[in-house]
Amino acid sequence: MKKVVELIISIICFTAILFSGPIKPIPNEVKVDKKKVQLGKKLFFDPILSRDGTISCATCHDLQNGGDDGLKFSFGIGGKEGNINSPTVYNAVFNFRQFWDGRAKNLKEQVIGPIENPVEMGHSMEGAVETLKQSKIYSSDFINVYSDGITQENIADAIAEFEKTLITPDSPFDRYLKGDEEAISQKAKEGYRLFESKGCVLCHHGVNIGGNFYNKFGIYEDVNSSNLGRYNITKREEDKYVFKVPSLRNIALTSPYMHDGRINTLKSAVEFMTRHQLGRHMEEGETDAIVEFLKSLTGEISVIVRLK
Amino acid sequence: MIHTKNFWKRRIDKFLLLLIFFALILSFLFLYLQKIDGEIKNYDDYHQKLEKMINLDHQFENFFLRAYRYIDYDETSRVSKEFEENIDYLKKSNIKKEFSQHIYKEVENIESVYKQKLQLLERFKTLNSRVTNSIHYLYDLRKTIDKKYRDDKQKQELLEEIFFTIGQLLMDLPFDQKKLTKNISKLKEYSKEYREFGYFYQHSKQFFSDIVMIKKKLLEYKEIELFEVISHTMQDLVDYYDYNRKEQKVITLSFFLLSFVILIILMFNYQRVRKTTRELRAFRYAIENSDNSIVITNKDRKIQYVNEAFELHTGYMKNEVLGENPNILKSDLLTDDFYKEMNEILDRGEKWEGELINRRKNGALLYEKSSIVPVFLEGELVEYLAIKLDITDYKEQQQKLQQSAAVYENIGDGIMITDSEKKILSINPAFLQMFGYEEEELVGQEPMIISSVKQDRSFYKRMWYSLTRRDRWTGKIYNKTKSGKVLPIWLTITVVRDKIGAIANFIAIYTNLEEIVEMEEKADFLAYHDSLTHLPNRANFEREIVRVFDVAKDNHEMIAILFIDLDRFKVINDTLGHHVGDEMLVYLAKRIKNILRKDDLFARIGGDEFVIILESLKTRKNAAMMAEKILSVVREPIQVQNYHLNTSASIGIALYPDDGLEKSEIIKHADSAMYYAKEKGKDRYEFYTKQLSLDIQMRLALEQELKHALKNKEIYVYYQPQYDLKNGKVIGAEALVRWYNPTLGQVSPELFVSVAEETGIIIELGYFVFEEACREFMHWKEQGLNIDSISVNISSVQFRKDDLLENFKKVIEKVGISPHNIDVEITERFIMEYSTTNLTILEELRSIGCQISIDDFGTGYSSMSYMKSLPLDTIKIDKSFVIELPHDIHDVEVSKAIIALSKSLGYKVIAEGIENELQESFLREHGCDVGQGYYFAKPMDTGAFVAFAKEKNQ
Repeated sequence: MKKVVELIISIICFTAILFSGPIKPIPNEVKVDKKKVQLGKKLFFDPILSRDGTISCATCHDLQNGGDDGLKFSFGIGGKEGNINSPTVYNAVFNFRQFWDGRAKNLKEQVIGPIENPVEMGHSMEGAVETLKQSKIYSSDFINVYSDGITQENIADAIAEFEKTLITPDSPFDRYLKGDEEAISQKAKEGYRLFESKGCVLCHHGVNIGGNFYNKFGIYEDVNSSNLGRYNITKREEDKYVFKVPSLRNIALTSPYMHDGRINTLKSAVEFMTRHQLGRHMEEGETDAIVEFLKSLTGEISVIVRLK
Repeated sequence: MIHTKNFWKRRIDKFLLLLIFFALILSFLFLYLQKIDGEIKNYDDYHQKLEKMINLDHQFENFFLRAYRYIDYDETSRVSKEFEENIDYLKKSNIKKEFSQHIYKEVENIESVYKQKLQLLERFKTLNSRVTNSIHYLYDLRKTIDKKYRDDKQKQELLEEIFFTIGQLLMDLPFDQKKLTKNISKLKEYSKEYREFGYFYQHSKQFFSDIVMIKKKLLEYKEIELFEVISHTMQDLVDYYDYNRKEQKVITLSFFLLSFVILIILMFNYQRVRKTTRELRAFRYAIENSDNSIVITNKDRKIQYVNEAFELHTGYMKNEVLGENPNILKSDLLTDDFYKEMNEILDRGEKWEGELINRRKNGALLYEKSSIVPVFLEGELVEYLAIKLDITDYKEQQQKLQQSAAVYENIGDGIMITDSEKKILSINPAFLQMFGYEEEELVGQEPMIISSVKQDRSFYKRMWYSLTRRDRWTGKIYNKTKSGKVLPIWLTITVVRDKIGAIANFIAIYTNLEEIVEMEEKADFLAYHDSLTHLPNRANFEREIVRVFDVAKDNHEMIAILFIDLDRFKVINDTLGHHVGDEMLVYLAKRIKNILRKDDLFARIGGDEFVIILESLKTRKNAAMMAEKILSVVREPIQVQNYHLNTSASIGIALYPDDGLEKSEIIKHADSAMYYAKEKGKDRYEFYTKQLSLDIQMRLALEQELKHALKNKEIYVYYQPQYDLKNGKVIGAEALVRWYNPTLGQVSPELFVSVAEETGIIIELGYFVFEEACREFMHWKEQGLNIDSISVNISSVQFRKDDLLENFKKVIEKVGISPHNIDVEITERFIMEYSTTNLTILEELRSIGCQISIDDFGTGYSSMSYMKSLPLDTIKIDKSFVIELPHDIHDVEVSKAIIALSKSLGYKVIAEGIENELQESFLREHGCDVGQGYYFAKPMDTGAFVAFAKEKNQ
């Protein structure tokens, strides 16, 4: 028995060393409350949360399509255009803060944002609670899950719980990290080497390959951004044009890129990053290799999404 | 006692109160300790959280210390998330309530300081990633430039100097700012010309500005005293907690002290209660063991207590009566007024005394001399105490005496009481009436005044002997009334002795037997005589026969027992009714009695069974003559209620001492002989022979075996051909039943058919033969043998079954035989036994097509004219007439007559038992149609029959 335990411990230690690179694979599942998830999923797809009942979370976060809407800016109620590119909802749970400017501490705080944003769902949480309370089905659904029924807190909690399940494990690169040498092409492997050696990895690392700190948009060259980023929250000069570093997972599916969706292709995004964020020069072959690597970051859509 | 009881009650109340208080304090204490325990747990929890936060703060420090290096920002996110969770936990906890507002404020302070630090960390992360990138890239660039401009010393030197400065900066060494500025501007110049230098310039510039920023951030972070804030909070928490603990200790201790004091009070109380209890126990013992019943009720008169004497006297157990009203004991013998009066006295608060008549649990009366006291305590009625003495025995004795007096006065028997000197003391009215005296005439006299002369002196001697020895005498005597009439008396004399055993009184009871004697005589007659014929009955016969045998034994005489059974009596009874049968019996009894000697016992021992004992018989012949006489008087026709009845009797005779010495043996033998007479054709007498006994045994064995014969397939059918006397062709067959038994062997039908008839087995047997015969007949037909008929004998017993025709029809249908082929043979006896009305069955059989034959014709007494009215087709001449043909003139005449008469009536004639050619030719010559007999063919099995008939009919 003791021997077995020792053996197991040694295996765990060994694997820990093996996977201690800057990028870590996504866990296959996250612990969730299944009842909350079902309710959250229902809310996620229900436009009832918007003021005029036209926009649901899924309108801008199309789960069949990379978790965003593929637009530069999204359209909210009454066809109003937003001012920021919808980030993907996939793997958002692994982000250290939510929104481009990181104003939400977690998913639960994030949920409220789009509901109350006048150019998105244009509602208020109080209003959303009232609307839901008129639905007998929702009333009983909530009572089944929460003892206090429909509240702002519970709406956010349910949706956040659902969003926790929106992870995309098992991407080719994750499989490669876990030891499957055949999972990605030689070119992608080369891309990964460049990704590390050219300094990309300094900002894009961890489980989510990004999403774990803020950085300035346009360090080495001016980028002409109209959005001031974290400055809007802190009002400090040094936070101007500072945004959350986005995750690169599923990046091939989430064009257009940058917080203002200014770039359409992955290659130009890499080129843009090289120039403005790294202040470097890269050969075209190198850029292509990195693009190849980035493409290997597309993971599997979770079961709950596939089950309509 | 009542006072002590109340004292007890109050004591209990106080005791209970203290106990409750004690329990309350203990539970308070328990809850309080529980609360403290909870607080300790919470405190540990909070303390732990704060410690954790200090730990996390250290990790933050580590991040800052790792400046200019690659840092895994997932790690920083994790640490900050954890820190935030701890803070949230504390903020949401009960810390404000359990500790103080102050502590809570401090926690909030921790949060704000933490937020500053976090913001700093985030900016640090941003800068650090940038700086790391720059260092990384600058190094990269230098390698590229090194390669490209290896020979350009100037450029090499410039890069070297810049790198040197970078090194100084990273190691926090002082550096030459002027030189750096100069070098940077040099770089700027190169950058216009060379692309690599452009990048180099850009990154160096950025790096130097970023590194300044980072250093600033690092200084700033040192100013944020998160650790101190947390430690301070922790210290406050500890202080506050310690203070609280002290307070709690004091409170807990005081609770303990309080409960201890109460415990002492409780113990003191308990001591006092124990003392009182001991006293009470003594009282209780006294009450419980009192002979008086004691009942205590509450003021609502519900029983609270009863003692053992109560249980003993009433039969109720304590648990049955507690809580009940004492009126459950009430009998209905006392008036409502009685209780009303009692209650009035009690309601006034006074003591009531009197006699109660109650009932015990088993319903027996209970007389009680009672006193009931209302008990007042502090002017208030609290309970009733009843003390009752059981006086039932005394009461009942009194009543008994009264009853005895009543009996004495009213009884129908005369009673006389004398003193020890036999002088009359008193007499009851019945005695006076019985003997016609006045009381004054007898008192003081001796009882001898009424004695009659019937008893002698020795009688009285015996009587006195019995009286002195056994104190009692009973017997029948005769006394004389005043008017001189002698009365049979049943006298019972009892001696009454005083305490020392000397005779005090004699009590004599006189029962008049006059009427009883008359009744007895009548009853005796009824018991020993038949009510219908007034002849002695079976009991009389059995009593008499013993006496007669005794006499005969002494005198060496011969006795005959005649068993008489009427023939066909049952038929008369069944067809004409019991009253006709009864009347006939009376007539016959008279007739027989008339021809007997006076001393001969003639008894009726059953329905149509009579027995005669002929005493002092000289010879057997005398008995035979008597039997003949009896048969002849029975045979004479009797006119009863317009019916002209012919009957006969069968008589069995057994003789003493020739046929046995025991009564039962002789009776049994007479009975057997009677049955033998019946068997031999009735209307005759038979003497018992030893052979008879054997026959009967045989018969019994036969009967046993016959019961199973059919089931065991021991019964089978043989067929005897009947042939046309003119041409010798087989025209029919008679089915004859046969029985082969493994133990008895082949049993003759003559033996077993009569047994079957008596036991009823003939019914089943008859159906079997009928069906078997019909079926075989059909087989013959199938095999190409065509004859006219199959004859089947049907017993008269079979005809008694109502469903006979129905069953025959079923068989006919089942087998598929035509009824015209069936010839039903009945005996002449059958016709004799049945009146015309009952012969409708024959009509019915005929109506479905069957033919009817009369078997054994000539053996009975039936007249030809009588037969004319019967539905007949064939007459069978009995073989007893054929056997002596043609030599015996009588038989020749008879058979000729039968044939002639049959012909004239249109019947077919069959002769049975033809054994030789002479018989055959005689019969043929005299016109007999059909023959049957050994001469032509013996009965044979079906196979043989088919072969035989086919050969004959070719």
